Amino acid sequence: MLAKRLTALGGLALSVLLLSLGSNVEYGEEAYFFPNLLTYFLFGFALVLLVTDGELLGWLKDIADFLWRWMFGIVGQGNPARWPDVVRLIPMFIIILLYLYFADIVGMYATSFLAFVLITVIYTPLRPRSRSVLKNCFIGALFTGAIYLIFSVLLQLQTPSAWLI
Amino acid sequence: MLKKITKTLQTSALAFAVAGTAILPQLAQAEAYPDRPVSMVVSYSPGGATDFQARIVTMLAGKEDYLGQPMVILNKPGAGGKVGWDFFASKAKKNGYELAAYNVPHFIAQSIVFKTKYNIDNLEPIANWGADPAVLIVGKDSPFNTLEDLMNYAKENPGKVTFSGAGLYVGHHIAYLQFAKASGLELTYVPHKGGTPAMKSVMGGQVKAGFNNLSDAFRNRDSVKILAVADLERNKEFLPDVPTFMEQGVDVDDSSVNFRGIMARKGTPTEVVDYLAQRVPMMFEDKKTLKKMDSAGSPVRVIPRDQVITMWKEREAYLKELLADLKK
Amino acid sequence: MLEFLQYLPDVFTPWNFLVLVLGTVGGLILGATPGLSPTMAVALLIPFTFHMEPATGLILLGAAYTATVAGGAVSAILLSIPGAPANIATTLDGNPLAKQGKATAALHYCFLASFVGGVLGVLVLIFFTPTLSQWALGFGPSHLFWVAILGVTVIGSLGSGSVIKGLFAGFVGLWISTIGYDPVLGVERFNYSEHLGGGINIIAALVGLFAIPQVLSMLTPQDLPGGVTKFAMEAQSIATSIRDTLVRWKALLVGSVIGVVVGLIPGAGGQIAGLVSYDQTKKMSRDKAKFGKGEPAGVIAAESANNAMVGPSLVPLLTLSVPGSPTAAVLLGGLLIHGLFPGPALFSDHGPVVWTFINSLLVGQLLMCIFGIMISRYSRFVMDIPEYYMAAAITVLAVFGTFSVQNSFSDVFVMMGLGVTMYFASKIGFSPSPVVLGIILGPIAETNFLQGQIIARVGDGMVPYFFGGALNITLVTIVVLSVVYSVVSEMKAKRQQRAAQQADDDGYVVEKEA
Repeated sequence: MLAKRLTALGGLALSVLLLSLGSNVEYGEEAYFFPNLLTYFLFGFALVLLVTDGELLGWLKDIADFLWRWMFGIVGQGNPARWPDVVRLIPMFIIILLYLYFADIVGMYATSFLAFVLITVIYTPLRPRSRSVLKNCFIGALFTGAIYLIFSVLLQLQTPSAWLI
Repeated sequence: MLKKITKTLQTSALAFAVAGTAILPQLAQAEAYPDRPVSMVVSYSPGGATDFQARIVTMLAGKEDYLGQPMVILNKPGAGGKVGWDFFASKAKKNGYELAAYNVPHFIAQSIVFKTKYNIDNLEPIANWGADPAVLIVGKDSPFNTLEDLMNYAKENPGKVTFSGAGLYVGHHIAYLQFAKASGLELTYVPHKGGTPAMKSVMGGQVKAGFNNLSDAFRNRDSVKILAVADLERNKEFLPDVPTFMEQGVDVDDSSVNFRGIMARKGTPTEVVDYLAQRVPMMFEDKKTLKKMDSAGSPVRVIPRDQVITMWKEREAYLKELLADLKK
Repeated sequence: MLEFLQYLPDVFTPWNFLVLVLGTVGGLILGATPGLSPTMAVALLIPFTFHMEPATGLILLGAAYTATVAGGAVSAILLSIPGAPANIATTLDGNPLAKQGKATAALHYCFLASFVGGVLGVLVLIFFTPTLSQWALGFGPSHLFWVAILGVTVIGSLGSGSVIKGLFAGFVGLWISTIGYDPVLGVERFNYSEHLGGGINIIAALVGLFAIPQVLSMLTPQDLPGGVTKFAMEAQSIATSIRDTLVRWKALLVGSVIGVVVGLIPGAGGQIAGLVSYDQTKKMSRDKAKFGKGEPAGVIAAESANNAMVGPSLVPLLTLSVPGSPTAAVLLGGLLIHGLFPGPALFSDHGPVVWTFINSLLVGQLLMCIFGIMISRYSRFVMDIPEYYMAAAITVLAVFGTFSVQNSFSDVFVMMGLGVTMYFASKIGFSPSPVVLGIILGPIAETNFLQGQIIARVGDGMVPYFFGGALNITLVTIVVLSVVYSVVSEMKAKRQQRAAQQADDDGYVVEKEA
């Protein structure tokens, strides 16, 4: 039940945050009626979520454990020896950030190709070898080519002008 | 792919060349312009009136007599046009290869009411292609047959006459404000998310009247009655029988007319702007373009650059005054 | 009435038929690409039709509309990523079916149901256009407000095991929809970054919320090495699929009828047709527990509804120039470019073009079904791709798909942000469908409430305006019934569950499984 309680608390915190965002506004107060009404609903739902489980005491010590499990832990069954999910995803998050940052500077197709190759090389379950990297590059180029055909040729998408394509 | 790469290399070479205009003689660059496709930002979604008109008027850009290079439409819709114009006024390159379509009075009114990155001082008009006046419409089954009927009813029932229009601070809203001010009547404005839903509300009888585009009202003339045109003179092409507000004694001028045209960012080399200002109106007036515009039901009004500059200034001065009353 | 038969041969001229086939196959592929929604596919194809004959151009747009709507179900079933908002309901049962190795069957159900719904929709368009267009016009702000509220009542029953979590997620979605500039109020809300200025684009949200959590969980398989549990594909004969589909005629009927009705209502947004009919089919079914775990009736209801919507969404468009769905709104531009002005005179002035277009929609439904079933045979190749390749491909597609909606990198940032947040939320039992539904319904509910408020204030007053009239009363009754029914069945289910699960008090594991 801890997960539910924490979710509820998170929900309460979110609704309070959203309400404060909608309360201090420069102009057009009446326009915030609807979003603020929604946050009251959110608050109510979170409250229901909190109240519907019986015992409200004796769960603080579990918080840290749960947060750990949520962020890093293996939920359900799994191999305890492997890296936690979030740690495994760190390279992916870095790739996403770099991808989005450089997409309109270097060029959408070039960065897409690099992102594709990086993801496949990093997340191959096998040990990357030069031959498999080459294969990844080839597939990446093929895929980027297909994307180019669909978006730029068929649908006439205008990609932002950048260093490369 | 390879072709694209070489093209990109050329492009970057050109970008360096443009960056180096301070050193290089400006003439050389002006002579070369344009040597690659020119893009044009449209701040509304594909399929909308501004978008398809922009596509029609630029379809002949590739002809040697005009630009000799095609113009590519880039849709950046959002927030009633604000997203596209904000992008244009802050990110577009000032080399004449990145242009945008404007909608007066929308962008001027927005620059007055909101914090925007654009205003008439950091944009440079090239030429105007179309003018779509706002018209006053009522449903087919409405008891009002003339503007007078409607005004008499409104006098007896203050606030009870509801008007639809495409949102706030757009041509329709400005026409409404002018009408309310000039007639001294108490009326109610119901903003809609675009001209089509506003038209639907009039047809379905959800509102008693509405302001909408002349072209859209003309197309729907079987389902609505058109009572008055908010322009200086009647529209001879499409609605020769519908009188203007002025003719019927209500002081509503052409300030709400939706002008559409092409603009560049301020700081674009003068040679490029002059080149465009000379060639673009010719492109608008090509017989093929005019025919296509006519068959799409879009009123054309080609206005050269110098007159557009004055038009923008007049509009801004007037809108500042009109909207100042509203904000309080 | 039977005028349309006269123009049927025009569809089969070599050039028109070629365009129809290409449009259908292309549409299926585009529709299956996450991020390429029918609205966008039609919008991006309009410039192509510029230099075509009007009839040919419209055939291309119509074929793309029909096929992308059905194609969106392919990725919904195989990857649990709906190709368009209309396909959200398909993921709920389609993906569990695929995970049981019945992906081919699920795809067959989907295309067969789409065909039945689609044909019914086009027939409504052919025979009832004049009658129904007047009816569609009668929907004012108060009615649309209630339609949106009906959509909100569906939220709770979507996806995640707990109703209250579903509602919470749905209301977060509703709140997200208030970000950005509102043309009715003329105010910019929660505009903290320039990336939010244009509001949250629905397609960007859809792609982010569904695709990114999928990508991230593909990259963190539960057992290493080996990865995500692969599910083998079973062969399924078409005859069996047809029989299975026809046996579930109730779902087919409910789905098609709701699809037709929702499609007719201008401004309701056809996107909710699939979800509403899924919800109704579930409520009418005897074993509700099967839904969400791979019940073919769920796929059939959702897919017949979203294709049944296509024809009727053109009813108010062609006669009154009032589009019934966002895609129909884009199609309006396509018509105008060719000088075809929708209105009562359209059928008399441009009869041949319009009838050829409508006929092509009818033939397109058949082609969509045939090519769709052919494509389903190859879907096993999609399933055999190693998940790290899949993850990389979906990431790139998500970025391109989102960017191409409005040429905007802001949308791409929003998409990624929402997606990564959703990944963490999904680990504590929230699902993306209610959020997306909230984002769709928010503007409909708010805009129509505000407009209704303005009109009611100067008119009859709030209560008569929102509750008066036959249509309002009907809609309110449906909303109330829907809520009461949900509450009662939820309580019944709870009681049974409590009796069964006295021993297992660990809610966490239960939610994980749901």
